[in-house]
Amino acid sequence: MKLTLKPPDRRLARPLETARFTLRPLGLLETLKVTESWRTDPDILTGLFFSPEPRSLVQWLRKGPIPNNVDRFAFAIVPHGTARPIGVHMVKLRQRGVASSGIGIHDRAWWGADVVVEARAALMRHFFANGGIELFLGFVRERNLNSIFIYRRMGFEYKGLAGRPKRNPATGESADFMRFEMSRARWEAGPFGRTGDGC
Amino acid sequence: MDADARAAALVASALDIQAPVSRDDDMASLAAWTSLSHVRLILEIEAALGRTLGPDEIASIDSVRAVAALLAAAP
Repeated sequence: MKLTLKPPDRRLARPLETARFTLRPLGLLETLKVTESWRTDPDILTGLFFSPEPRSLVQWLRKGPIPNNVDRFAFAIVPHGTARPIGVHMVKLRQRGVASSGIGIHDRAWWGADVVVEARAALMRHFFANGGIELFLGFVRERNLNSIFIYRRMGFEYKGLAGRPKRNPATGESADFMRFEMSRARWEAGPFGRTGDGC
Repeated sequence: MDADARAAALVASALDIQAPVSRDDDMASLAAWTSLSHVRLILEIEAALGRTLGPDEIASIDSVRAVAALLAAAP
């Protein structure tokens, strides 16, 4: 967790609505509660860290998807008509004008239901419009076909392999990571930026 | 059967579409092209080619034309 003395950015950390979900900004304690199961969920951990190794609370506080609502945000994905989050979508503001994102869907009943495209499109629209973002980055393990689909479906441009291969300590498997980019101009010319929905 | 027709047939099979698939179709035009069917499609392309696709090839797959290009390039 990156500590900051700046006050939360309420302009960015505000609820958003999509066709099926409310994206509700989370604080530190809420994030710890909503993501508690993630610390031992091998699928979520592998998706986020390329390692299924369980994380302690201290490790989670240091390296987990903890928001400060200044340059790190976490939005609970809550289906309309319910109160229970099915996952969390994170947005991290990197250097000036560049952002990246990550997501975990812990409710497996929603897997394959294109939750990511719907939630990510709303968040990207919000951060392009209000966060001064000029470029969204995405990094995906080379055989993570679901995530690659999402980036291509949303119109991200594939920019080649990113850095050195990473090794999964549990399996010994080594994998390259693919870099995807979406510039503001590309977003505004694409189906999600043009129609405001794209789904 | 040429690469376009083979690609259209392969996409229709992976996406479980009964109606004809056009060479102009892509991820946006086919509602059945979801994350799950995309995984199926890539596995079927790999089976058809008899090899694993590389990252550049996987990233290129967003349309029937892109599938046809992969099939046409096969020896």
